[in-house]
Amino acid sequence: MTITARIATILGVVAVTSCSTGSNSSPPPQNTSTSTGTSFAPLPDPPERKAIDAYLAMWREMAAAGETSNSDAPGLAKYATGDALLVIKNSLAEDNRKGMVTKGSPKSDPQVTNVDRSDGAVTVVKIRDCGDDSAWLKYRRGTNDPADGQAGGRRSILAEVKAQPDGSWLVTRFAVQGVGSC
Amino acid sequence: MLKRIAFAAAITMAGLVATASSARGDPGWGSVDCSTTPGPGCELIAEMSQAQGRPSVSGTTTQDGTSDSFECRYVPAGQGDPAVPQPEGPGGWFRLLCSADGKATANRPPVWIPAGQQAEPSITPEQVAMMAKSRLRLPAPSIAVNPAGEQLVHLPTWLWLREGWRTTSSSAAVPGITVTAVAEPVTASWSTGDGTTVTCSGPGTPFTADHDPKAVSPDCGHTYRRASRGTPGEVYTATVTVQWNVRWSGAGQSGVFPGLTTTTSTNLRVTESQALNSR
Repeated sequence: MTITARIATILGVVAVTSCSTGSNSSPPPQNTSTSTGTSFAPLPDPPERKAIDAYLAMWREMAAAGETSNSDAPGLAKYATGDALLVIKNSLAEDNRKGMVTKGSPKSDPQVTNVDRSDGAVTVVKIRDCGDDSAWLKYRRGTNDPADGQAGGRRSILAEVKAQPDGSWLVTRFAVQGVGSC
Repeated sequence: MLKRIAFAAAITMAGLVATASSARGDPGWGSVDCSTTPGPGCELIAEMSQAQGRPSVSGTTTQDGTSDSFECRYVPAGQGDPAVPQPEGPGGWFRLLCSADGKATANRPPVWIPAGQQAEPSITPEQVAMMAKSRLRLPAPSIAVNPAGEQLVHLPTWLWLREGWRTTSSSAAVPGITVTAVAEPVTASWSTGDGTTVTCSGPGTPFTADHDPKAVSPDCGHTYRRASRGTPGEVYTATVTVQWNVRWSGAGQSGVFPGLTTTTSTNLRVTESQALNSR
């Protein structure tokens, strides 16, 4: 069942009754500096909010790691796992091999499109974003020579974020589509 | 009656054909763009469109500004697979055709469809993969050499590909199955026309002005020892053949296809250089 993103409407679901016995303490809210047009009510973090935060933080960490094309940047695994982490690391390693670094940052505008519940708790959040990487560009390392590839632009991005046994939320998969797809 | 039902069971297929980005740079998401570099996670596109109740796939493939729409349907086949006994009862043999142009691309034996059955075309990931493979558009190789004009005996010739060496992929999807075929260039085998074959594991290094003209290419080159004078046309024909590995993955399965090749050739005139020889 598809539930359109209305963060304010799902405040009833706050507790994440994960099957682990760990505490449900969550990390302090991330200071999201990503320039998004989305704003959220200052209420206890619903799972959708945590999922959105993890999603935004994933791109923020990728952008930070991209400045040196460091595929081993420790921040990467804090917000992504599985295929999502693999794809990011491979991308950074490939850039590093080519002598490229990425400067700037992407813009995001994520919306929750779907949540899956298990025993009443939200366990999976699906996100649809219309990101923009026209100000997040690759350069030859140590220069200001932009790599003369295709231009950036607005891209439809889909992502899957899953609750972890420790109560954190990690992006497990994402799919970035071509420029002009949104 | 049966014919009509079978035709009505047509499903739509979509293939997304794209070309992977070259070694040139991209915006930040360029190297993880599913339309150019399908990888893990890209199946979300199909999954999430299904979740919203929309047809999971439909529409068009795009490549170099042209587009095709894909469709799968059953068409009557004159007879069945001789190895399979004809089932009892009314019905007929049908072949599954999946293509953009009405010509068969799903290479599979006919199936028996009992009369009156709603024939949902069933197709395996490997069959979808064959369709994805058929949509691959491998870049044609383009030869570059240094020196740019005539080659000189004993002076190293640099060989490289200006075009034709980039990972290329295409996808095809039916509801529930999205498969991507990826072709990766593996070797460039150069037949230099004087009886030598040079196999390079990459596209070769472009010669640039900061290289010593007398230096040997670091990864792909040849030094002619005899002039081409006296050969037909007074030239050597240099041919490059790029060998591609093709693998596919999707719907939790993966596999490899027989490799593909691309090839092109050019004529090279090789002359003696007294100046170099007398050094």
